Parts: sequence; structure tokens; C-alpha cells
Amino acid sequence: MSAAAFLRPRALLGLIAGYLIWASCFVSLYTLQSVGCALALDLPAGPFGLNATTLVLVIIWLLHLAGLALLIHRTHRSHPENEHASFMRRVSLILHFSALAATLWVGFPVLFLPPCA
Amino acid sequence: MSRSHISPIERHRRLDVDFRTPGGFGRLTSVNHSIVGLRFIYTGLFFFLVGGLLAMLIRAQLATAESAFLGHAAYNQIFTMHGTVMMFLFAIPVLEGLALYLLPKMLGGRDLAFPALSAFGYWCYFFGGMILLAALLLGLAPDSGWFMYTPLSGSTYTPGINSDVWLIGVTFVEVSALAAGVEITVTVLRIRTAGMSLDRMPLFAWYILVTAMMIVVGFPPLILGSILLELERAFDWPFFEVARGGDSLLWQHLFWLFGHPEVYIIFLPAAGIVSTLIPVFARHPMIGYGWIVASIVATGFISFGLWVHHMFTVGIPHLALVFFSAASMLVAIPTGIQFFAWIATLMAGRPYVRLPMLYLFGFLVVFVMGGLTGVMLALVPFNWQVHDTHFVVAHMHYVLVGGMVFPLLAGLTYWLPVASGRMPSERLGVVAFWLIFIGFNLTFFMMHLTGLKGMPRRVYTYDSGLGWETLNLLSSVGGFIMSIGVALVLLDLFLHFRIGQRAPRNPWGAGTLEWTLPKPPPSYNFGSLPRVESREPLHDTPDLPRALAAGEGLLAIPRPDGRETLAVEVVSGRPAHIVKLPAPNWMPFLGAVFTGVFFLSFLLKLYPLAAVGALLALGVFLRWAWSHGRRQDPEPLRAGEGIKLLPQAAVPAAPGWWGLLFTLVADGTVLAALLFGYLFLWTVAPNWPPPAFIELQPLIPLLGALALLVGLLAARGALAANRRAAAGMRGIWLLVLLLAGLLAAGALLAIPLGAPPPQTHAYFAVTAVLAGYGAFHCLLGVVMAGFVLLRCRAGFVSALRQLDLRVLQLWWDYTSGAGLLILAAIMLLPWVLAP
Repeated sequence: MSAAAFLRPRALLGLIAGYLIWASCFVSLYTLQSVGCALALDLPAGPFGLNATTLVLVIIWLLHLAGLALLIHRTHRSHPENEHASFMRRVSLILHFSALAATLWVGFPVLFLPPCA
Repeated sequence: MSRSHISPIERHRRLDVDFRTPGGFGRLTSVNHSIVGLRFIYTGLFFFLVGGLLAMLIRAQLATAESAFLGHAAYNQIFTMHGTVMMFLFAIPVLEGLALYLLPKMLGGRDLAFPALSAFGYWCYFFGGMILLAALLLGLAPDSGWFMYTPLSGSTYTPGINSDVWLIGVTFVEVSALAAGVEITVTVLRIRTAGMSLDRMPLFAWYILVTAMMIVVGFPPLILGSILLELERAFDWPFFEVARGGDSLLWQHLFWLFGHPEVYIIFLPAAGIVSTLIPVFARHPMIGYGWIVASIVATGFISFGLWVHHMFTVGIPHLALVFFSAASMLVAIPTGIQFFAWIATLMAGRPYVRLPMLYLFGFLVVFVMGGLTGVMLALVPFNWQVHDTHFVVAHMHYVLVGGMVFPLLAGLTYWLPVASGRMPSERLGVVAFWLIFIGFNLTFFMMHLTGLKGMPRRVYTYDSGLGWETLNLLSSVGGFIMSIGVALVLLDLFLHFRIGQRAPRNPWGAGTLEWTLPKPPPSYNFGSLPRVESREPLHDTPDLPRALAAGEGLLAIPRPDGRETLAVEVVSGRPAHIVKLPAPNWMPFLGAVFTGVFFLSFLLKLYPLAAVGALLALGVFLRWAWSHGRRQDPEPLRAGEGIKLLPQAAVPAAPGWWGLLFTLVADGTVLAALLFGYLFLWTVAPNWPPPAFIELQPLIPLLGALALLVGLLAARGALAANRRAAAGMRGIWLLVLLLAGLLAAGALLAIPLGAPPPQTHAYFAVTAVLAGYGAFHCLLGVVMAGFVLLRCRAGFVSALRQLDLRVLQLWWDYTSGAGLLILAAIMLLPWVLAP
């Protein structure tokens, strides 16, 4: 990301990109858990004795975590050239890291709890 | 800074002629942000008194066991209206009013991005509030609790008009909230003074920006829920009735999708007041500015992941409960970061205590207690134990009064000198504070205990001998002590405007721009607009008030068609163009009156009259839109400091385009909530699948999809032709757009018309609403295309002046996308989910 990118209106989207991913993860987990339970996909059928719903939830969760890691990497390696861009980059990084922690925290129960009980 | 060639008095005279509001009936035409903001605040405080009186009636009733003071029917109306008035008619509007009043003054603008929209919003709020108040006086007020749970609020158990009053009155008020949400978002992003980059913006503006965006996303689910429930009550379309495929839990989801963010919509502006006052009274710049900005944004997001914690007892799978429980605990962290930043600033500075600080002390104590009981309630097992008891009532009031009323009183006493030019009374104010503080804690701390002893909410009386009497009596005594405190605040305000001591220019030693203004401020705020180079420009240049009055800033020489302010680039704060602000006019008032005719006629089931009201309102809005723009290409205008800028009519991304963008964000949230409801009913409601599926000829949806795609291309084609100055081709594209829009609307409407009646099952009802949503957007798009066609012929559009076409293109981008999504949902979901 260039310095100029931090000064465009789209920089606002960059600021909230991490939490947009968090929101996407949250909505996807909740929706797919409901759909999976409605379609009775909670029986052990997948690898390692996992049921299909849990498997889908874990994949969704990991994909979002990977997206956040990529976002942090891209933001971190950018080099802002003035104070405004530097501010946007710093706040973006705080937000992306906290979104990563929030996604880890909200999603990790999919590893331990049955989806439909 | 270049010196202007007119005297400060001449500048004042010329600007005031442009910006001031006429007298007499002309006051109804006001669009000035100071006047509209103060109207919101005064009306909000009036409703605070109404809500407070209702609270006193509640406490009088509950003071003793087996009280015969109120019957259950009256009590139900009173507690429902207490919550409704306090949430919808006091808390949100008063904070909106404060924001509308202060933002241009803090950001260095002469007004808001869309002053007329704010005026329209005020009248919607006023008329909606009056509908609710009239119902209360007539004994027809809502009585199902402020969250209107179904089936209690449905037509079976509440057959009268009471629930309709809530659904229609509150929706009318929410139009106002959405208007303010869009207004504030665009204002903070675009209407600032030169040099005010995002990193130099006052923290208050950050808080209000995030709040406004939360309103834009948070209110639509409730608006949708209200529309669905009203459709069920008025036309028997089943969305929440279980027997015909509905589910009452859908209402709870839609309500709390709004309801929990609402708590933060109320709290964040109040926290913005705290973050503004603490550095002033600590005499130290705020520590952790960037961390606070990040915390505000994080709070805004996480607060949307909590709504189910209001529904922990309804039988949701444990895994889903854990998602929401985890998010509920998470939200404490950004709030905690703000608290630590405030404490650090106080420790680093040399704090001094004046009346506003005292209220902040009240906030810190009360809100921390509310936050702690909030963490307790986020834990599912504890939540189950105290569900629907007075413990929850206590928590909610600690959060809302602690998190909103105390900071609001701090803010009002702090900014009073800006509005009145006088200082608040320290003596009377201190007595009022302590009465409110002691009275509040006496009232609500006891409710934790009655709640733990098992006293349920919403009961109009209770038996003696349960161990609740003494605690309830103490609560009621506390309530009346608090009321005396509030009465003293009002007395203080009254005396303040009459005999208050004159305020110096900057009485608290603040560094933000509102303290550069004369007191009370002139109608146009700034004689010339400052160029700022830090977060506290007044500390950098104490002489700034004189320099601005002397015309040493931007836009110092009023032009004959005056009413100008600056728009800046979003992030950098570099001047981008000049915004021409509207003159006082009747459109906002008339628009709200006709919108009111629509809502009131609907309430009274006079549907033809409602249609007339809607058409008249549409006519006013079109006339209003017609009054904008110009028929010649403008030249760049001198803005001062050697800068020349174009007016917004010649700028592609003018505030109007941004306004539509955020309106569409709200609109898209309605659609998202509707699709959520559709999916929810499919997967959770008991009486699904429906008895039959809609059988469609594939030709109809294919034709609809094709028409939507043609619409998308035609809007873009018109814009491209306009850029090439090919007026003929532009007209052809617009005609194609008209036809494609009509065809798409027809195809969408054909789906429910060819299906069994919506009354049969929730599946048909939801499908009809989805198709209706798409068709409505297409038809509105057709009206807009016709409107732009006429504007092109009238000479309002050119290769340079392309705003109309840009707005049309944005509308059709959204409408096409939404229409295709709707068609996909209607066609594909049965295929995926049907057994």
C-alpha cells in the first residue's frame, strides 16, 4: 500500500477492513451454524470424525483468520510519507490486530462445542 | 493569510443576511444548523420531562406492595411509554441535536452538509413524537413494553390501535434518526475547514462519526421489523405468527439487531463529550488519541455482535450462545481502553474541578458499575438466573443514565456558554448534581437487590411479605430525590439565560474551534474559515477569534449568492470545493407534513389518503431536488490564500453523492435484514417448509434479471455519453433506462402476483415483501431517470455538471445488484433448502 493510498477516501475502508472481516466471520459462523443444523448436517461424517457443520465452521473461521493475517502483513509493510498517512496506518494496524484477536476469541469455540446441541 | 477588503461589520452584515432565519411563520422555514440543533435539544429535553413524569408514576405505584394507585392497563401503557419516550424521543434526538449544533462549530464550517435534510428530520421527529404523545393523552398508548415483543404486540393479543401507534410513530421518528445519520456522516467526512485532516479532528467528531454510521446500519432492522409487524397487523401477512410459518423470535432478532447497537449509539456520543472535557479540565492533551479512535471504531463493530445476549433464554444452540457471549465480553475492552486513556490524561495533567467535571465524576462511578453488571450479564448462566428481573432494570439504568445522562449534563453545562454567552451557576448546579447522583444510586442500586431477590420486571404490583417492600420504598424515595435534582437543573437553566454571569470568550481554556466564536454565535458561525495545523488550534493561535472576524481566513468575502462553506478531501483535509448551502425554505417542513399525512392515515387505516400523502411527499422531494444545481458551467471561485475552487455542482463526488451512498448503506441493511429474516424462517421457524412452493415460468425471472442488467448498463451509458457531451445518446440511454426499470419492476411484481396470497404462509408473505422491495426500487429509479431526463433538457446537466447522472448511476448500481440478489434468493433458496 502506498502513502497516497492512505489519503484517498478508500483509506476509510482500509481502516475498517479488519473489522469487516471480523463481521463477515461472525455472520458466516452464525448463519452456517443455523443452516447446518436445519439441514441436520451435525452427524459425524467428515474427516477425524468431525461432522460436516463443524468442518465448514472451522474452515470458514480459518479462512477469515488467514484474510486478517494477510491484511496485517500488507498494512505493516507499507511506508507512509506524511503524518496523515502515518496516522491512518497506525490506527489501521491497531484495528486489524484487534480484529484478529476478536476473530480468534469469538470463533475458537467451534473447535470444542457441538454445533446444534 | 490574505486580508480581505471589507470591514468585519460589513462581513457580518452580509453573511447574516444570507444565513439568518426569518421571523414569524418564516421560522418554520429555518434550515440553520444552530436553530435546528437547538430545536432537537429543547424538544428532547421536553420529552425527558415526559419520560421522567412517567417514571415517577411507576415509582409511586411500586413504592408499596399491593398498591391500588394504578391499574394494570394504565401501568402497562406507562412503563411502555417511559422506555419508548426515553430511548426514541429523548436520548437519540438530544444527542443528535447536540451533534448538529456543535459539529460545524468544532469542524470550522458554516453549516452542515445538508442543512435542509436536518430540518426535515427535525419535523419528522416532532410530528412522530406528537403522535405518540397524543396517544398517551388519549389512553391509546402502546402497552406491550418498549421492545414490543410478539405475539403480545400482535393483533390477537393487542387488537386495538396501541401497537400501531408504536410501530408507526417510532418509524416516523426513525426517519429523522436516519436523516441525521446520513447528515452527520457526510458532514464529518467532507465539511471541515482547511487543514483539518482526520488525525487533527476533535475526538468528539470521531465519536459522532462512528455513532452516525451505526445509526445508518443499526436502525434499518427495526424499521423493517416495524413494517413487517404492521403488515401482519393491518393486512394479516404472517411473519411472526407461528401457525402460518412465522416465528415470534424473528421479531426479537430484528429488534435487538437494532436494540443492542442502540445502547452504544447512545453511549458513544456521551463518551465523546467525556473525551472532549477531560483534556480541558486536566489541562493536558488527550493521551492515546489514536488508540481512542481505534477503540471507537472497534466498539462500533463489536456492538453489532451482541444482540442475541438479550435472547439467551429463548432456546438457541449453545454454540451460537457462546459466539454472542464471547462478543459481549469483548466489547468491554475498547471501552476499557478509553477509560484508561481518560485516567492517564487526568494523571498527567493538572485537573481542576468545575461543574462539568462533577458530572463526569458521576459518569465514571455510575457507568463503571453498569459496565461491571454488564459483564455479569454477559455470562450465560448468571443471565439465566436474573433474566427478566429488576437486576436487568438496574443494570440498564446504570449504563444508560451513567453512560448518557451524566455526560450529557456535563456537556450541556460545558457548552452552555457557547450557546448563551453566560456561565452556568456553580452553586445551584452542584446541589442539583448531588441530588441527582444520590437519588439515582438510591433508586437503582436497590433494584439490583430486588432483582436478586426475584422481583420480575413489568409487574404492576407485588404481594407483601416477599422481602421487597423496604427496598422498593427506598427506590421510590430515591426516584423522587433525583426528580428534585432534575427540577433544579431546569431552574438553573431558566435562571442561566436570564441572570447568568457573562462568559469570557474561552471560559474553560479549551483548544477547539467552537470557542473562537462570538457568544452567542452568529448565524454563519465563522466570518472567515480558519486553516488549522493541530488538534487544538486555539491553543496554537490564541488570537484566532480576532483574525477570523477580521477576514484573515478562507471564504472571507461573501459573494452575492452567499451561504458558502468548504468541502475538504476526506483524509487530508485539503480544500476540495465550495459547497453552496440552501436558503431558508418550506420544503423540509412541507415534506415532513406530507410524510406525516402518510403515516397518520396509515395509522387510521385511511389507505387512499396515505397514498395521497406519499405522492405529495414525493412531489415535494422532487421539487426540492429540482431547486439544486445551475444551468451554466461554473468558473472556479476564489476561496482566499490564492486558492480557487469549483462549487459542488461541478464536482463528481459532491456531498449529495456521498449522501446517497450512505442512504444506500441504510437501504442495503434493510435488504440484508430481510434476507436474514427469510433465511431465519426457513431454518428455524417450526412450520416450514411451506405447503407449496412458488412455481414460476423461468422466463419471468430471466426477463427481470435481463432488465436489471440493461438498467445497470443504461445508467452507466448515459453518464459516459454525457462525458463525451453526446446529448442525444445520453437521452437515448435514459429512455432505455426508463423502459428497463419498468420491465424489471413488472417482472418482480409478477412473482407474488402469480403465487398464492401472502396471507397463506410466511413463505409467500416474505417473497412478496422481497419482490415488492425490488420493484419499489426499480419504480423509484424510473422516476429518477425521468427526472434526470427533464433536468438534462432544462440545462442542469453538462459534461462538467454531471452530479445528477452520477447519483442516478449510483442508484441503479444498487438497484440492479439488489434486484438480482432478490431474484436469486427467491429462485435458489427453495432449490437449496427444500427437502
